[in-house]
Amino acid sequence: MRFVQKHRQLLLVVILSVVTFLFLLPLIWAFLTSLKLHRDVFTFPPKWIFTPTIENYLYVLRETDYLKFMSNSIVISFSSAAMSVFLGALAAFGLSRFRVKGSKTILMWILSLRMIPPIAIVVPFYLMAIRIGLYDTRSGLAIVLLAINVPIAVWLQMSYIREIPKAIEESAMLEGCSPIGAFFRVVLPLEATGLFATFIMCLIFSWNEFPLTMILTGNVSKTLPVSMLSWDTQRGLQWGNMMAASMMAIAPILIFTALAQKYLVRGLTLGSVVD
Amino acid sequence: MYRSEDTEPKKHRIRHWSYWKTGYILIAPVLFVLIIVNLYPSLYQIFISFMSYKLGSPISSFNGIANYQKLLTDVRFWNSLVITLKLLLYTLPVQLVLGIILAMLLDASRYHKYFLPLLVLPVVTTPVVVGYIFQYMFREDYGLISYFLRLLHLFPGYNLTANTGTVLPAIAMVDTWQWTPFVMIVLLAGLQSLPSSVYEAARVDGGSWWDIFLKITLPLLKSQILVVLLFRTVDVLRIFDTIFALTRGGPGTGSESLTIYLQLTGFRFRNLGYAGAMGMFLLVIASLFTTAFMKLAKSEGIEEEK
Repeated sequence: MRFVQKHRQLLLVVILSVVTFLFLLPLIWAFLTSLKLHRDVFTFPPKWIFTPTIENYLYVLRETDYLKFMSNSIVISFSSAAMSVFLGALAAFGLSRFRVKGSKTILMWILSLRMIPPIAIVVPFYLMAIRIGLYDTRSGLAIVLLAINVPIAVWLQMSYIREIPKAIEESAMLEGCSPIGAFFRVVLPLEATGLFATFIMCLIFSWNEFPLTMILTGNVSKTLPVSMLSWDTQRGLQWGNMMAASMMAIAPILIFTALAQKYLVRGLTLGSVVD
Repeated sequence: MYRSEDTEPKKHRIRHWSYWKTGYILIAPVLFVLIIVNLYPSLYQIFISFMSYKLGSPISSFNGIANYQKLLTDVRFWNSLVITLKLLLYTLPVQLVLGIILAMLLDASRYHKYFLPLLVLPVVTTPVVVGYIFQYMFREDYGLISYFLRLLHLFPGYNLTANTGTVLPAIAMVDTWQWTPFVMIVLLAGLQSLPSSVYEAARVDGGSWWDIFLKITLPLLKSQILVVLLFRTVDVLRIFDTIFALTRGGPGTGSESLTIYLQLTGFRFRNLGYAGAMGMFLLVIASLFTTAFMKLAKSEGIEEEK
């Protein structure tokens, strides 16, 4: 017991290292597989030491439309995230600083979009998209993804705007600034952290979105995650290539997360839990 | 703003009618978006759900409540509902307990800063990619999970995702791997906001570790626990990506959740009217769960999502 007391911090570090390793193992294993030659993938017991190769990455880049899917993913998620952040900032400012009739109902409505499975209304989305010619287009998908992003954008930014003292905008307005002017000149700059956090969260959610994207896109505007499905046709034969494609599909997300690490708790809980 | 009204007291000027209108102007764009991506599709779906609407055939006709009647007698539909509820049952308690343990370990460690960025990676990894990584790890011959199970003499001799008895626990395991870190970071944020003086007082009073946990820590974490349960519940109800990449609902219909069955019905069997009715059902269940949580949060005196 005295040993435990004395080395408590050391023991914790050991336990946490083991836990962290377990949580990272699938990602590490996928990464190792992406560097393996075909013959090293199917061994039993699994090989931990082997000669690494970038063959798989080259194969994915050369033989598939990887770059097209990557550019689709980037265009769609960046534009949807940017729109959401802007719309969300306006609404969050309006709802937290002005008297709007039914604002509670509107807020609950917005929140309900986060609570309801997006696939529950995929049928009308599909029919609408076909009817107005937005099926399998980047802009169509970016608009549909607003349904995923708007609740994050509004609720998260409300939590940031509420942290700004009201007096600051009021004094700007007393100086003769219009409310909209105060929003652009005072609130937005003060909410910079919130804007950034919201943008990154929307980016992650749009990038990862799968069911709506799968149903609403075809070969033209398919995103990276949906393009993963094409590896499934040769089930289990090309794990090396598939893992290389997976690694390249999640790399941008891991970078976004590294940037947004600090805001993750707040972002994922739509601002209800503040670190 | 009227410049000529300078004689008016300044405070009064912000109360000008244009100030009140601003609120509506600011939320108008979002309301417009909500109408396009939510209100209109929802109403349209109600309409579709009363139609016989087959993808690819130009004829759609009014069908009355036939689609809803079919829901009641469709064994496959009830099976998918049971599977979805089972997944909730297999995931929530485990993730909550593991999440609390991990959060407390991190909270006790001086070095948690260094572990957090790594521990949250599963949460943000694209779920469909997670599905494929685990499909690979579950392979019975060369998969890593099967290998570890063999080392522990626990390997049942088949791929865990290829057997009706083990496929749901296997999927629950994947979900637990991905989402326990989320539970953990939220609860950790809660733990770190607790004043340490509370603990010291309890320790001075001679409370055992377990007593302190039950009577002080848990009640103080109540709001974070509710938030976590709410988000996890709605996310398990919508689980799709992982199952689709891992088993496509198989073996047979062994892992066919509501969402998977809806997608199959609408886009494989091309029966959009029936899929629409299923969508309505899903909307209702998700709303019931959400409302229940909100009520619970309110009755516990927590003003959720302040």
